[in-house]
Amino acid sequence: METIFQLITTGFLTGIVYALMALGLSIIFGLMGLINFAHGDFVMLAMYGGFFFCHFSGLDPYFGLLVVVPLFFVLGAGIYRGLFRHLLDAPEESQIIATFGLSFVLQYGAMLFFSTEYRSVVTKYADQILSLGFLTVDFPHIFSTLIAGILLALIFVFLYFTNTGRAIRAVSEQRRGASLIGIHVQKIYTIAIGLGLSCVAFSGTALITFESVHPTIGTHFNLLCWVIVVLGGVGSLWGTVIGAIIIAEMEMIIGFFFAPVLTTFAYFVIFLAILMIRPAGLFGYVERRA
Amino acid sequence: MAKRNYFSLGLPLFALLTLMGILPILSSHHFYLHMLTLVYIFAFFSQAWNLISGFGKQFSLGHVAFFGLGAYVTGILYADYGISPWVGLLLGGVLGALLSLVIGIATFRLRAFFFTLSTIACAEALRVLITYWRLASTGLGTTIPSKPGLWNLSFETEIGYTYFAYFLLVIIVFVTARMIHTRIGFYLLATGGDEEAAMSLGINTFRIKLLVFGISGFFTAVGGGFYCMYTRYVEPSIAFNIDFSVQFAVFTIVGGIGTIAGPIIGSALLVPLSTFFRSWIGGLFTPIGYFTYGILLIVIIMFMPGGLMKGIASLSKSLRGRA
Repeated sequence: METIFQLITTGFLTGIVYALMALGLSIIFGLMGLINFAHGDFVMLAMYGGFFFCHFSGLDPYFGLLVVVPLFFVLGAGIYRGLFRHLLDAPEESQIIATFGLSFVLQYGAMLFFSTEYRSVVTKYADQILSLGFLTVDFPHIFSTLIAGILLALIFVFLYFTNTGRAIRAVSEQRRGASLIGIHVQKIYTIAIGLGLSCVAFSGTALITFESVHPTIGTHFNLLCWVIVVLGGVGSLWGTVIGAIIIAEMEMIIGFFFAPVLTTFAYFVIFLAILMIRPAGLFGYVERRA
Repeated sequence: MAKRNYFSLGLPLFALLTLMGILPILSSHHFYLHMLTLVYIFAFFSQAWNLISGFGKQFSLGHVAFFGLGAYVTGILYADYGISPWVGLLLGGVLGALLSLVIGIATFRLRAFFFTLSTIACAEALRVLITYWRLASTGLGTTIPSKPGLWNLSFETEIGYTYFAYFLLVIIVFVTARMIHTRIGFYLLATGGDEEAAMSLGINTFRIKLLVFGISGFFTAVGGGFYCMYTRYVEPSIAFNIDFSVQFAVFTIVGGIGTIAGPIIGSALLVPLSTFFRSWIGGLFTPIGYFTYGILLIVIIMFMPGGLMKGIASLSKSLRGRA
């Protein structure tokens, strides 16, 4: 019984970090209608950012955010201008192929520059543990959840309680309608990219404190994020958070009782099951075609 | 209806297939035949992919799931139980078709990217499942024993494999060409062109997509079985490598997506090129190859979405216009 509680707690903590990661995808997809198959590879880059910062400065990876976030904004602006902007009005399959190509470029670029070695960061608090009765939680997980949780809260406050946030949600619901009532859609896109990349940078940095990184880890994250977004419901930001927690719990439980490798198989089963039973996901809406 | 197949199985395609049939007898050099075999089998795979993803516009990035399934069914049945690969090919093909039905039923009523995503997820899921199963039983890789004979699908010389790959390619080209000119083909093209319009004409687009995806899955699995017999080795990380999915797509897109000659031209061009890349740069920098694929995908989609076939077609059109 205690083990179950332990698993659920760790799953919840990881789930918050996943939520932040998937929210980045959800925002860019929801706001801009861009199908990005390279999202996980950006997370991979952020993890490398955290690793190299830590490696060269000896400071905690979280300080690296001061470098990684600006770098990501520059990278994001470049990729947006060079690629994403041209894809916005392109058919779905073009978006899929081009971002899949981008995923390859990032993965194998990382392999060329950073080698295929698994890299991990050892923080000063890596082996410190917080005991709450029979529950024990390690500090890296606590910090990452705190930081991811704070950013999640800030994003939700921004989206639900500021005028810009309301404008953003208006665009995500109906792009044309929003532009008709005078919302500057291009400006919203810029903000969307900024928000999405911040989610990526923060979640990548949080992840590197307890997980090692290698160039092809992005494929796993791509799948993970999309399963979360579809489970929560396309277009629902709250759904994404709930979906992330469910998936993280499931990972923990399957990993413990069966085998960690089988979680990928579970993703696929869950994914097909949602699409068959409730294609709108838990909290979303979806246009059916037939 | 817009005519999308620039060459139906008319004279040019017939000539191309005949040429490809003659090529293997020209030299018995091992590497030459090996190259031809690879070109033919990849043209076959790309054509199978092209059926659903090119003509039907349902973009699969997980065709390696069928490839690996076919490879495993054929390889394991033969290596562990001594059952003829012919049985394996057929059984693998049927399982591939069934798998494609499962994915199709779940996703073909939804937005197209759900389909793409579930094909990727399916390939990954099969990879981990089979890794898990093989590690628990016999160890990861399986070597296929060689006992030459047609019944064992093993040949003493390379040319046997070359002609078998050619045989598969001819079958799929004929199937594609036949289908495109029947009602199913018209329905498929209409579905790929504008699904809502097709539905409003009373076409059951869901059924058409399922049928074509099933055919595509069947052939890809059969080809996977042959590929396994050819390389005499099967391992989850190779048989389910996403690289294969990408190659089927890249070869087709470069040659010309949604055309019959496209996959053949793309494979004839890119298979030797990528082999050359690999042997030239050596095992050290293979990521460069994939890196280039990525760039190629982006560039083609941005600047030449029709691939080479469309480029040739528009060129010949403009030449004819001038004359």
